[in-house]
Amino acid sequence: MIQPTLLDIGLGFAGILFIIGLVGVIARRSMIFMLIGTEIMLNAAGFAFIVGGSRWADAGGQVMFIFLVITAATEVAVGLAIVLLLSTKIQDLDADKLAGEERSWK
Amino acid sequence: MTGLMIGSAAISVIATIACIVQRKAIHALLYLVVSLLGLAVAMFALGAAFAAAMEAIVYAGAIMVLFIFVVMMLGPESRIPGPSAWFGSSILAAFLLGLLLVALISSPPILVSAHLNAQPASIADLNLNGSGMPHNQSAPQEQVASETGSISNKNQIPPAGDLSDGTDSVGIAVPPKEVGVALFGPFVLCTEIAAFLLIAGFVGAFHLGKDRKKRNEAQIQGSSQ
Repeated sequence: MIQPTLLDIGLGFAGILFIIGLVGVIARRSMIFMLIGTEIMLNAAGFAFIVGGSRWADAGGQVMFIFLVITAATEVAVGLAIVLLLSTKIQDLDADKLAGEERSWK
Repeated sequence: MTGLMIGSAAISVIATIACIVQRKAIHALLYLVVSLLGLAVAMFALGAAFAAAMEAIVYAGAIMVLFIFVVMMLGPESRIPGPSAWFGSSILAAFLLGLLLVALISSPPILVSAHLNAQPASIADLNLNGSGMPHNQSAPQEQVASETGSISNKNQIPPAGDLSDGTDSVGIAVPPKEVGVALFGPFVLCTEIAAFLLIAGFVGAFHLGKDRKKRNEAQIQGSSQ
């Protein structure tokens, strides 16, 4: 039996986290939860960078993680500003209603 | 340390699953903080101490506080959450703390890595020396400056990171000094582009968040006078 290396384990956890975030973005309708799912996905990608940088002893993994944190901070700032704008204008954060589509399933 | 990495990543996965199935946003955010802290511990166990500090300070500190701030502003959940809100996430956080304490007690030099195993350095050495590695001092300065020091690393490092060889080797530690040298060496253009991105995000958030109604009224009043 082949032992899993640390790279396999780390990338496996990153993939699981990414899938959870993707499910969160797809399944939830609240804009806040969609932003949270995006954060989880970005975080999983950053963890994959860290695992790779740790495996090959390269500083590039951590550098990419820093850029990813910067991107996530910008995305959250703009996204939360949009959420605040929506909540003051139309008092609703349902993404389906915002797109003008009524759910056929309840 | 491998156990620490796997355990904290597993706690992070559990907290993330609990996060996306919550009904209220504030409960989900509390679970998400635990998830980010667990991932920070996993990064620390992998040897990426600087990234772990970034994760704990920027992600679990700044970004999550921004989230919680907005969620508390949005109205229906603006009450202070009671003990039922943070009970589950605090249990997970307690597990994480226990894991970290066990790992700290069982293996005192935290930043043990494949290339530090030859001559074990204490944490104080690492703090004083930045990298704590002798080969950075012996390497020519221009090589460190131009090639970020990590390329000279690769000559000495065996392809470690395997669990199969029976050793307790986790990932290879990349000290914060190397990250800084890489960030302002070959990646300096990306760093400046990231600065542009931050300014663009700041201007965008400011533009979206300003009170348009009040400003329009002020303009109308100003024009009527």
